[in-house]
Amino acid sequence: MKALPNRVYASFFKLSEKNLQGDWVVLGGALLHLLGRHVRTTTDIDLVPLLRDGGKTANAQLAQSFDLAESLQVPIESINSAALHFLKKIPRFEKELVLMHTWKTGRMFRPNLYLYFQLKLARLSESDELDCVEILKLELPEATEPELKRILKEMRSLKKKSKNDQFARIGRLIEAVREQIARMDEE
Amino acid sequence: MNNELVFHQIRTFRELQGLTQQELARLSRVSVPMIQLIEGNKANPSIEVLSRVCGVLGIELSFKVQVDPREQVGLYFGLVVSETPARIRMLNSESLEQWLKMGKDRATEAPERVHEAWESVLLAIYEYYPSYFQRLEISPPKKVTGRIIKLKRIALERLVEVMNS
Repeated sequence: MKALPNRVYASFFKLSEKNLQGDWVVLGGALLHLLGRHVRTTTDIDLVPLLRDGGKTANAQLAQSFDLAESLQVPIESINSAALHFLKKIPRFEKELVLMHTWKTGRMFRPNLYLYFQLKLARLSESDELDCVEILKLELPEATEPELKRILKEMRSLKKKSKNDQFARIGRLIEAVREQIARMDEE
Repeated sequence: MNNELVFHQIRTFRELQGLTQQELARLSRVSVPMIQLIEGNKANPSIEVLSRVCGVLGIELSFKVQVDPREQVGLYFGLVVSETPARIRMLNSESLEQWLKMGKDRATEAPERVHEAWESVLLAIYEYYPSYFQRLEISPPKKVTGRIIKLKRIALERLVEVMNS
């Protein structure tokens, strides 16, 4: 099966500069590919516009994302902006964004560790678990103990509502985060 | 109404419920040859006959099949979640596995839009539940079109419900 080829990620920022204006957030499995972790297959690039003007330019930004898909030579359906719906549900999500890339007419953000986990935990499929493990590995050098404890709190509350495989996946993630906190305490 | 699509589902549902053509004919008060013709896409049954057959199998006839992409996925995936008798409505990841294995040979014969829906379900499993996918011994979709990507997102919503049930 043809997933998105690596050339898509290699040219993503360059082509974003040409096609996109304003502020954007890249999320999901594609973010890991952009950070150099090609650990799983995905056919989506979760890319959402940050509607700083209250949505006045939303349509124009959506059209820009189609242009980007065309430039990347992927189906326009590969660019998915539906994640905006979930992002907006998280209070003060803007505070959890990290600047990734800037250009003359725009900026690209990504979620921090806490926000990345929050977005993934609601569904927590096998791939979501893998994504969380990978982002944790990537962010650990920068992660702080309070941040990890925040994540732990979220996961513990979700664990109570989950069952079966999802319950097991949250359990493994809790263990991974707890391990890191314990290491920090030792140091 | 897409007859081929509905007839294809009748056979799938009958087999899924372990019914023979004779049993289905008896339960729906239709002749055995009529059931054979329906399943072979060679009949043009009245809505009344079709409703009786579908009623036995727990299939709700919908005339919006070609309108809403959800219905397309619905017929090949959502059906196992919400539009079928209680036995199938109790679907979990194990029964989904059986259902998928059973449908894999049939999928290639299916009408194009149903086939796309099938591929979208496979793609959702392949991307989001890879170890589960491996167990199925089914090949991932060879060609991923924009439409399959779009349908995959709908399929994923249902899939998560099944996997977390």
